Amino acid sequence: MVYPLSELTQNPQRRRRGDAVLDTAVHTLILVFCVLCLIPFIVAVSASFSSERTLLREGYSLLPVAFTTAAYDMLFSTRQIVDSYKVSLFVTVFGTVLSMVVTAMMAYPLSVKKLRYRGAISFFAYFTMLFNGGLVPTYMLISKYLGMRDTLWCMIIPVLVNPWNLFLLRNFFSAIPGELHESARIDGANDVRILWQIILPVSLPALATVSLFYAVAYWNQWFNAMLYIEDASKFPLQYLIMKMLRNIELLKQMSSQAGFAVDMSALPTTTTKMATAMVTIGPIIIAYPFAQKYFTSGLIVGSVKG
Amino acid sequence: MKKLVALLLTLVMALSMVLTAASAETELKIYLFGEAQNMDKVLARFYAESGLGIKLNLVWNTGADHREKMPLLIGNEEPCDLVFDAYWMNLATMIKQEMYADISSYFHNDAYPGLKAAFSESYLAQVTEADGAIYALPITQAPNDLQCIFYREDLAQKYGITIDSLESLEAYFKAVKENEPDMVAPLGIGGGRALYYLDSDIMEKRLANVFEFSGTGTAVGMEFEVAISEDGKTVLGAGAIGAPDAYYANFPAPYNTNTRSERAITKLTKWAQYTQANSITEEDAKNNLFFTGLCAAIEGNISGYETCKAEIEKIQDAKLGMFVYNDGLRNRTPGYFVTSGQTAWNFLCVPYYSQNIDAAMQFIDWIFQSPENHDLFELGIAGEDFTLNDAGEYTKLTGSNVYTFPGYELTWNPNFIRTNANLDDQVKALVKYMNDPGSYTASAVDGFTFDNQSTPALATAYAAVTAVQSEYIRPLMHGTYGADTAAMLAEYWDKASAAGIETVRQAVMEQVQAFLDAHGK
Amino acid sequence: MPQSNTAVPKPIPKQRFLREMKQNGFLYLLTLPGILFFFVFSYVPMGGLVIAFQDYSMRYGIFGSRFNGVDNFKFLFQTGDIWRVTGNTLFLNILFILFTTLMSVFLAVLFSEVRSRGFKRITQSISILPNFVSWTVIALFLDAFIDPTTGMLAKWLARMGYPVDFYANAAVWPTLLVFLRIWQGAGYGAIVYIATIVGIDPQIYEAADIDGATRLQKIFRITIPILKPTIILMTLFGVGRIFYGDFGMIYALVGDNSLLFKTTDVIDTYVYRMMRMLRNYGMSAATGMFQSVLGFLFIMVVNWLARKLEPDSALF
Repeated sequence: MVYPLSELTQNPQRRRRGDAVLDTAVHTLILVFCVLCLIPFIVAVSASFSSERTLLREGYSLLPVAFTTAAYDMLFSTRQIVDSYKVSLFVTVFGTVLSMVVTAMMAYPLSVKKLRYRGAISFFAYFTMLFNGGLVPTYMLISKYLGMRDTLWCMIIPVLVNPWNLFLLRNFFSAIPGELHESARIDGANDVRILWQIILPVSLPALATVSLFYAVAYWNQWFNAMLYIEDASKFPLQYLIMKMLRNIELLKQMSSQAGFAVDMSALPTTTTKMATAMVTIGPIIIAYPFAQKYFTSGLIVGSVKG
Repeated sequence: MKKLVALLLTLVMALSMVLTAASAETELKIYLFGEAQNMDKVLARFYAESGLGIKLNLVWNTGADHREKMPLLIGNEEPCDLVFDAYWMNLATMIKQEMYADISSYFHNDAYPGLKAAFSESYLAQVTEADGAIYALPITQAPNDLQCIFYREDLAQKYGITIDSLESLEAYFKAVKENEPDMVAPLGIGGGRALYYLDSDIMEKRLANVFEFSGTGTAVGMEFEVAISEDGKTVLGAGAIGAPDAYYANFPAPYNTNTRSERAITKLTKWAQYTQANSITEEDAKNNLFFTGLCAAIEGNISGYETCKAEIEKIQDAKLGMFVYNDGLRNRTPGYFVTSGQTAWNFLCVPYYSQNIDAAMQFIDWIFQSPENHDLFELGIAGEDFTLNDAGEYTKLTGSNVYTFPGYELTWNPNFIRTNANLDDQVKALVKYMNDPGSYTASAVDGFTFDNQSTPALATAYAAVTAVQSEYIRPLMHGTYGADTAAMLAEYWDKASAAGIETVRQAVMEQVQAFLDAHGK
Repeated sequence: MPQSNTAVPKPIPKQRFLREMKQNGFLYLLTLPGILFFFVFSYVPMGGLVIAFQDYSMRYGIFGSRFNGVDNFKFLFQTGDIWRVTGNTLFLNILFILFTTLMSVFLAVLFSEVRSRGFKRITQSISILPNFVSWTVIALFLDAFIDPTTGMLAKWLARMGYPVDFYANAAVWPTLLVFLRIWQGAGYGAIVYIATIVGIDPQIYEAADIDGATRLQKIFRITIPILKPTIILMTLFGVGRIFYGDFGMIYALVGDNSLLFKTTDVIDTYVYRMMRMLRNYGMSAATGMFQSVLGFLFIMVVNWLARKLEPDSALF
């Protein structure tokens, strides 16, 4: 926990005057921002529990209008959604772990200043963010040559390392004071021990942060599923939802374009869009506070003896 | 003796191979978009009754994904035996790049009676290439749909207006505008189409051999009006909205000036005053405005009647009224509807590498072998999913176990149409008119599609002009420019010319002429 | 190892390489899985970049399609509008980078100054919520605000005497988009900075206290400078993508409302509209190449600058 240590050593008199003002300002600003974040969210939750017609007619509000769980019924009506949750969970957990391992393994050496080729390797990794071969060769590679069609791997392996996260982690590693390296080396540790026993424990906030980013990315993933997966039992949650929404959009579009009689009464629409947002955000909101613990409370870097 | 034994052995081997082949199951991988409900029971029935040894493996993509994914999948030669395609998806490019197999040999072929019954030569004419090849199976019912206005009959009655002409329609709009403050607007419009059809003379122009062609068959793409000589052999000229009158000089009177621009300036702005203020952002007026009671009328087509009726009656006291605004069509004049270009909207294709073309065609053949077979896939199991009355009209049953299937992807066919028993008589009459081949007159340009990539210069110009169009055409169709319409049209045409619209126009004329020469009757 | 005499010739690159491997072999070994990953999933498909120069046919693939020079690029430059949309892309992205970074840093500093752990945890969790709402949903909300007849904001503005027709007035949209971007991304973006702040050695603050620093001084003299490498890194990332518009956001909010194109049309939406009726992989690839090359040139310059100013923060 970072305590601005003002209360420990400061002149109490001076503290009380200036700090109170600053404190109020800080808290107010944060509250204002949070309200701005929260209100639309609450409106979305209310909308997801509202009746479609009344919502379109009367507009959005903080409380549900004509309360109904129709949107959620529609979403959970398929047994598939349970399977999708499971798939998403597996992909997220396994993917995050695997990604973190490979990313950390690559990021740490890039942060070591004495490494001669770290600039070259960094460029090698970053270049991939600039140039992309496009869907045609990627599809060929993943589907034909690597045979990842219809497997859960297609959602993990092709996106294993994100250069953005890689460089972020590298920066975090770089920020670790050189003294730690030095004192460990003086004690006779080699690279392996330094990494394992010194660097990693101290990097917990960084690892937690990057893990969070990976986890969210895996959880929200759907594009690869759309391209490569046909077995419904392997659909991730986000893809299932996207599918539902897109089918609805298409049916509405077609019925207004050129003569397709569609049974519209089954189509959810706006309220379901809201409900789907809740369904995917839900687990993140639940899991987030646990992860938060790790990057809002670091380990005191006090192991450097003066 | 040895020779006899050898011969016998060979015979036995051959026989066993044939037997195993016959009893072996073929699995067809079929890619469609959207979804079907409760299809298992229908499939079970099919397997039991068909005796073909064909299993169906249906994969449902979402619409947008189908469009993205299928070229990649087929390009990689992944297993696929039947796939949905359309001009508004990838059909033109796929055919051009030879991705689909030629299935012409299966038609007019006595071994496939179902196909013979369902697909006549004239029906297939629009997909038959100059060399006789057929790369796509058209899936349609009526050659076209009837455009109409859906309105609130209860409100019309309230104001004592019977809507039977454009004048009375306008009176209705006026009445609603003045007396219904709760409503956002009398006429709700949205999307790219907006006021395209209302009070337009597209049908009449076709009767005068003036046809409109868009990029790929979707409405309000890049449209040119092309005049064909009466004998159907020569292209007289082509024009488009915003073009100078000179382009129309060779058109038959009264169309020898730019009537499209004219319409935009006078009629569109007139009707636009009855629409909602920010219609340009509205994508779905039907659901957002009409069904919620925020507007009193929307544009639509006859096939959407049942859906509309069910939805509008959820509003208290509301009743659905329908007005086909084209006089000729509303009066069900025979032969009034002149077909033009592609009339099919959806197609089924077989990828060139498929090993199961025979089986695929057998499957489709089976569907059309009898009305019962057809009903199975289109409507479901009689008694469970639908019922038929004495006139052969159907009623779809409701319930959670009911089979639904997007027939427009597989089963629709002009020779196998059933009318919905529950339509009221006026609508039924119009639907029957719509489905009756006698209502339509063939034209010299049936089956023409425009290849917007025939040369790189064309592709470039087409893309550039599309960009300009995406800026101006939508506001035009919504009547947004109001009094400035004429000025904006001129501005649009300047920009479009700079982008290369003349290149596209020339290409249209050349391609139509080539088509007329090749298919000349 | 005893020092050899100074007349030893300079080691040739191969020797240098071997020596480097010997000294730091373990570390290089660690990077191997990552390098392999990038090679297989990024560099191998990069061969597909040639499609931009081909008359690409799905049937004959990359190796069977004919080259057609720069034909695929011509459509981009046909009308000259490309420069306007590129300008929009640049302009909007610069605004986004600038303001989201400012806001995220600001938020992170605010959070770090909160003493109550509970308050901090709860508010920080709330601040990231908008990140998970998709743009299509946000578009629906926006409509509830700015619709000229029913929108809350529009009605309020009209009452104040400044009526704004949001759906027809292109000039207000950059501001609107920036606000939305900040709302959506500032909270989530602050996480990185919070994590950095958390790693700051409290002893530094203690020392500052002893020297009599005020809280504001501590923020500006300690916290922010320590955030600088992260800020630079984030900014560099933004710059690398500066020629890629946020298609998801802009298409969901603006759609086909051409009245707003003047200020909101970015390269991605512009090309998307052009290619709606044209399925041409060559032309799509050409667009990507256009954006990639421009981004590459940009980042090379900016990274060089960063290396000069803050060597530790440069990307490479």
